[in-house]
Amino acid sequence: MKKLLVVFIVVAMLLGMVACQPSGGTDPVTTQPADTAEGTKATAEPGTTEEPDINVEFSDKTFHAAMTATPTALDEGYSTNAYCRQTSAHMFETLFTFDEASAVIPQLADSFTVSDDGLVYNVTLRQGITFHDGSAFDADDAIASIERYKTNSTYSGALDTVIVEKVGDYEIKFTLEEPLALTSLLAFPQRVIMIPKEIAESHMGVELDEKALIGTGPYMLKEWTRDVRIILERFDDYVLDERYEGPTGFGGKRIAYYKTIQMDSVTEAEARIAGLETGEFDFADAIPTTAYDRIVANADLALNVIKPGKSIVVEFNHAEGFTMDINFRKALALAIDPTEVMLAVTSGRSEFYRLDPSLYQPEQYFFTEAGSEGIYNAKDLDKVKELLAAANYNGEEIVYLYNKDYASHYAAGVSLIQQWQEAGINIVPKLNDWTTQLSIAQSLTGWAINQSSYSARFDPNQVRNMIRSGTLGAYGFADDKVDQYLDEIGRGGTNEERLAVWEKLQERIWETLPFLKFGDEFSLNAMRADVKGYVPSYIDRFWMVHE
Amino acid sequence: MTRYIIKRLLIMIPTLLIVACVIFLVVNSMPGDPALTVIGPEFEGDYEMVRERMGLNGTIWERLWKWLSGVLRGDLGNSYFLGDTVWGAIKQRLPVTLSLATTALIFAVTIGVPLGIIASLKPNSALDTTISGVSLLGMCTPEFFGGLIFMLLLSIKWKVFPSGGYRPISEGFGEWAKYIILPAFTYGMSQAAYFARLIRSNMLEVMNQDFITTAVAKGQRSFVVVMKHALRNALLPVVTGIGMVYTIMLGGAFITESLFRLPGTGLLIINSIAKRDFPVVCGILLLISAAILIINLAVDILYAFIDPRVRFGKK
Amino acid sequence: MKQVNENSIWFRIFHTPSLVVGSILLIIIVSALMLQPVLTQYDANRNDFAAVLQPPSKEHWFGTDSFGRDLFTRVLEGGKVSLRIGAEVVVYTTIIGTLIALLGGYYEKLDVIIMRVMDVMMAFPTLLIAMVLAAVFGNSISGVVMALTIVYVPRTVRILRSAILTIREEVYVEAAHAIGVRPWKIMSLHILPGAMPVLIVQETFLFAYAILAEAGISFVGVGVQPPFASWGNILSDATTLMSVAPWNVFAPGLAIVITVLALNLIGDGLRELLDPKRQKGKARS
Repeated sequence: MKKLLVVFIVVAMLLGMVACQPSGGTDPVTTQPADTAEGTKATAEPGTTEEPDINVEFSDKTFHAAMTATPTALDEGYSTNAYCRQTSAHMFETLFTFDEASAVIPQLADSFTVSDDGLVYNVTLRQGITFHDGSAFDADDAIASIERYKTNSTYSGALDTVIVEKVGDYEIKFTLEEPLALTSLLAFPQRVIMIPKEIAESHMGVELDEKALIGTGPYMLKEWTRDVRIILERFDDYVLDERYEGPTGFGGKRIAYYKTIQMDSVTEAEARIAGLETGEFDFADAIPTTAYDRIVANADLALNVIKPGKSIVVEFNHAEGFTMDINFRKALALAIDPTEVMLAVTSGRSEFYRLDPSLYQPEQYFFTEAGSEGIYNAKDLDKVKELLAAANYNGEEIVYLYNKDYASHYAAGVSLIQQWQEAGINIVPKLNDWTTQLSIAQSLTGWAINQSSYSARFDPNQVRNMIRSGTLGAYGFADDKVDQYLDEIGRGGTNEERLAVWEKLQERIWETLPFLKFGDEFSLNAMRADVKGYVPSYIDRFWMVHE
Repeated sequence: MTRYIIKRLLIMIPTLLIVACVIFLVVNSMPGDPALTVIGPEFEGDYEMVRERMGLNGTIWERLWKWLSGVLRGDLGNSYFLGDTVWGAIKQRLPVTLSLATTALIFAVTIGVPLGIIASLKPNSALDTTISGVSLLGMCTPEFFGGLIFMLLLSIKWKVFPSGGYRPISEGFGEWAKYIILPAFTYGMSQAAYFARLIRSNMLEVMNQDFITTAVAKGQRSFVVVMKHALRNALLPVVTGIGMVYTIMLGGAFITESLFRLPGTGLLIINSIAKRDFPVVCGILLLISAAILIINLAVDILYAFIDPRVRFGKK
Repeated sequence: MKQVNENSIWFRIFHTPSLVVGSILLIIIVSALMLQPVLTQYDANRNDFAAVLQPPSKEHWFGTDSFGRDLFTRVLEGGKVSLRIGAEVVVYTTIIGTLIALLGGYYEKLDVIIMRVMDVMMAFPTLLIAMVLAAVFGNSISGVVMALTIVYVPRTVRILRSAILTIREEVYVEAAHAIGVRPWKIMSLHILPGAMPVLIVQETFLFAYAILAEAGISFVGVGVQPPFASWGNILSDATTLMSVAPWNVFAPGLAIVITVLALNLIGDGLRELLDPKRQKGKARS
């Protein structure tokens, strides 16, 4: 492998990082790639970029990151935890994956064809790829990996009926019973990681232990001491995906600049920040908003506001009481000024939230404001009165579930309770711990409104379990059109086709209000100012960083 | 003697078994479903499959039987969330809790015992009243309030100690001490007050006894008397008291650990209760309960050795 | 001048300084809690984002918290909850503990079983199991009361039992036996009154433990949940505000210390008064 490699990087995303050192500017937020919805959309096509490139060479150095925890599992079928996903993404690859804008792109797949009826996918695999143990990746490994995923993953439901067959050494065929968004399902939310056939077959129904964590990714596992640290080392025989000009999302041309990546578990925020200030750490995860000014004032450090962020939402009980009535749900929506809710969530700091009616946020391919007009951010107490009258509501108790485990849930609750009460709705707040709240919500009795939040979603398929009739997340919600659109999106098609359906679905969500979104809450992380190439995400990717 | 010990050990076995059953049933009756926590508000994954994998299927009795038979084989099960066995998770955090409890105990004894002795030398003097008053105040101050005040002064204002966290002793004794001193001091204080009061009242009791009065009458200087006779007798209950205090400390360390964010078993059990990580909660409770039973037994035996008046098997 | 009767109960009470001081402190605390509506005009749970984290002032005697709530009001409101929990625990443990101890004293066969059960219960780490039980009972005020009652009943039973066993050997009880007084009557008329002093002293200390225990488990976030204030959870909220608003720490903390001190003083005084022979320090648990 060449020692020197010229590498191109998507700069649109990293502009903010490089420019993040405060240059006497009064508003540090403007140095962030904030609200570049339009710009991001433009570069959202897989693997394309018009931005200038940066030259990078390999280094023998160690990138030292201070995280809040170490992953508890590295086998994605066994955890949906962000730490698992981010570490695993360094080590494993999938046939398809997501780019920076959450659009599906091929990774270990070379190309694929779909039959006209959408029932047969022929996928050719990239050749010359080797696993960390030196064995070559071919169709047998891919099939065994997919079969293992079908047995192991708690998310494999949709793939259960798919038949995978070997066509050639580097070609496999998927036969579907009904059309599916197959490429997306292979990419996320639980990635169908590619592992050697022998390991896949000996780990059917068994979690991969440390010795079996063999993938094709740019980094290999070197040390994993739970709750202390995890060390990854560059895989020297990694084959760069030259189809792309640089890394994007979870795929693209993934250049491993640092020889070693060390992620320490540093639970106290103060210690993470202090270590970053002394230069012990290159990167510090989960920076509390109270430390914002301190980091922005330090020229050696750069602060990242992570976008997309968390959607702050409430869910409704569609199985009992007034919230079954769309008029009542609309009244609840129109009684709220989302700005006040989000200000409460971020303790009054506008840098850390964004009003956003879309489940997919402006940075993401599936962002759309469809259907939000007149219902989102449209507080109108007169209309609320009319709607409440239409719902025959006369001051009956409306139980609102929230918790203190998530600071954002509690703060949103404080604001929501006040606003709803002012609108003449007799809200009865019930505070529980999070786990109890989830159970009460699932019981579908004794509550009307459930405070929640969603971390950034990647693909519309992921919404299925949240609003499809009959699923746990729907809380009794059932709408034929929503189901129909979900099925359509689930059937696959090109990114453009799916976006068109998603827009209709998002519009329908605002018409029927299965849940109600208030805005996006951003979290923060920080790094040394000389770190380049990092793209903020709630799933950190360090294969793209360099000096 | 040997028969007594064997008998006590034999009684301990059914006691521990009952304790284990009670722990499992109580812990598993907590409201809330850990499987729902695992799939999260975004419902990632199949609920039934998650439940099955977590071993939450089946009746409570089937699960009790499964857990109990595991425990008898020395297997405490797997954590729902930590990606580790329960024993592995506890083993990793145990040094933190032991560091805290042991250092706190050392503080408690080295501060409390001398104070108690000094106070008892001149009963009802100004010094005695002050020490008694301070130790009473110490007993009434919960460690989380005392700790907050220490933290405010020593960490935030004067920056002498870090305000929280832990470094293992393998990173050097100095580092370890820097992080453990403040929590251990905080935690040791209230127990120091207890020791001071205990020693003082024991000393006074012993000094009123005939042999001391005789010794003084024989013309021995009172300091020598204190050291030679009174202290030795007054310390007896302290030696056994240490065992009791240590068990209380192991079980109560979670508050100090929570305040100073020490990643020990106490913080683990708080977090595990919040997430409904039942196997971990059961495991920690079982181990601490077993430790209490064993230490109590050891104290009884030790007491029997020191104080020959105690008759075995008779109350 | 009148002759002072040195044996009168009032004389002895007023010559037990700890009892006097403790009682005065407790009376001050309880009356402050009762007079809360008069003393403050604020609502303990009303958010006021215009008055967030204000230091102590004329308007807010103890300052405000991160939601702009008046701390003085909250400490008084929390005190009601904390004291109510302590008092309820005392009442329930006394009733249940006495019943169990009497049953054990009455039926000797039952006594063996009761003591085995109590041994098992004492094997649990007190505070930890109280925290777990509070979570089981749903983190409410009544949940904490139930949890602490379960945890403290064995202590009451043990102390009462040993008192009962001693009294049972006394001559007057033996005499009552001999003349054929029914055992249950002996229990309630002769033995229980004899054990009363021990019980009263024990329950006074238990009041103090219960307040400390409630504060402890609420402090770690498992006990009393907001919007109900308790001294423990006000302190818990204060920990995150340490560097910006340290006054949040002092008011609830001092309230706990003073109350527990008052109860300990009363307990010490009562012990001196009722049982002058036993004057030992007690372990906190």
